[in-house]
Amino acid sequence: MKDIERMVVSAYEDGEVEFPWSDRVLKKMEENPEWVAEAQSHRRIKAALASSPEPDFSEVRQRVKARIEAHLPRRRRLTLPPVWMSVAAAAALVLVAGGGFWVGRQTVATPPSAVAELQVQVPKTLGLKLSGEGQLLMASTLQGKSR
Amino acid sequence: MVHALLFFMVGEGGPPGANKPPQGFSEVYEAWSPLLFRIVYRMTGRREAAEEIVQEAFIKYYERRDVLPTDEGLKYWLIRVARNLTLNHEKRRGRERRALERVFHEPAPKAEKGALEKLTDSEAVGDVQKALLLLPENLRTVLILKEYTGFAYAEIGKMLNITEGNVKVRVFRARARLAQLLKEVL
Repeated sequence: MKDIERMVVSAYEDGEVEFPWSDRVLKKMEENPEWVAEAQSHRRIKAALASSPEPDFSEVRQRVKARIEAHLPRRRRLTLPPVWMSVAAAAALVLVAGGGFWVGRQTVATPPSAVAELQVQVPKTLGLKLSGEGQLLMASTLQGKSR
Repeated sequence: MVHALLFFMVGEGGPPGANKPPQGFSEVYEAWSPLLFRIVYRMTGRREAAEEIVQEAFIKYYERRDVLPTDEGLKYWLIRVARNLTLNHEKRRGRERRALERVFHEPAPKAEKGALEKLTDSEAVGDVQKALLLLPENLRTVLILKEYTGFAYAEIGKMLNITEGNVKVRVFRARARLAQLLKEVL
């Protein structure tokens, strides 16, 4: 039996030969006992490997995890907030935004033409160099008052 | 949207879901450490080595977790790291053994040619495991990944950066070599 044929049998035993080639391998096995023997040899190896004992690592795994978590610099353990918290936060946002908007509407309902000039007497002791008699002309939005 | 906003504000992590890849150190560790322990143990045949190497692999993961993939790529990365650490560990162990042999003027046992019983180890490993350790590393790794993790040839190829055809050849050669070694046992 050629090495390439043995390799095909090996791959077939691993389920790595696709249709229609898998059917051809099966047919070969029906016709040729050498192919069957080769397949059995691979199966024996697979069975031997599978039956080889392995230690139980569950305790070691936890020990290693604890060691890593204890010694490495900790970062904030961050998780997704629960849905109720998100809903509460959304409601609070809506309340705050709505309230702010309502208050704003109540206090800043000023007509656009309500611009007044305010004359302010500035004491000369301030040392400000002002035009005229120390009068400061200011424009301000005063509710309901105009010049 | 607020949930997403809060999630963004709060940061990483998330509830583990059936279809979601593991996220965060704890979840990743729980998901992949059994696999790594198994692979490293099969590659070294020693429990202590598996403990040391897997710990180192996860420390590396912990340090770089912000830039690592979170999907299947992470599993491949972890296996690659564990494999490289195992190779380094075995090289270091070989050097130490040779140095001790020089000191005590004892000839080094030939690992490749020795019969099963010649391979001595501190742990009582089975004949199959002993035979496995006698395989060259490139054959051993591929066979272990195939037999003990159930990865497909294509996945193994991705992990080891070799072609699927190469995996097929190595698995076949590994089994043929193992069959020779186990002839007396099977």
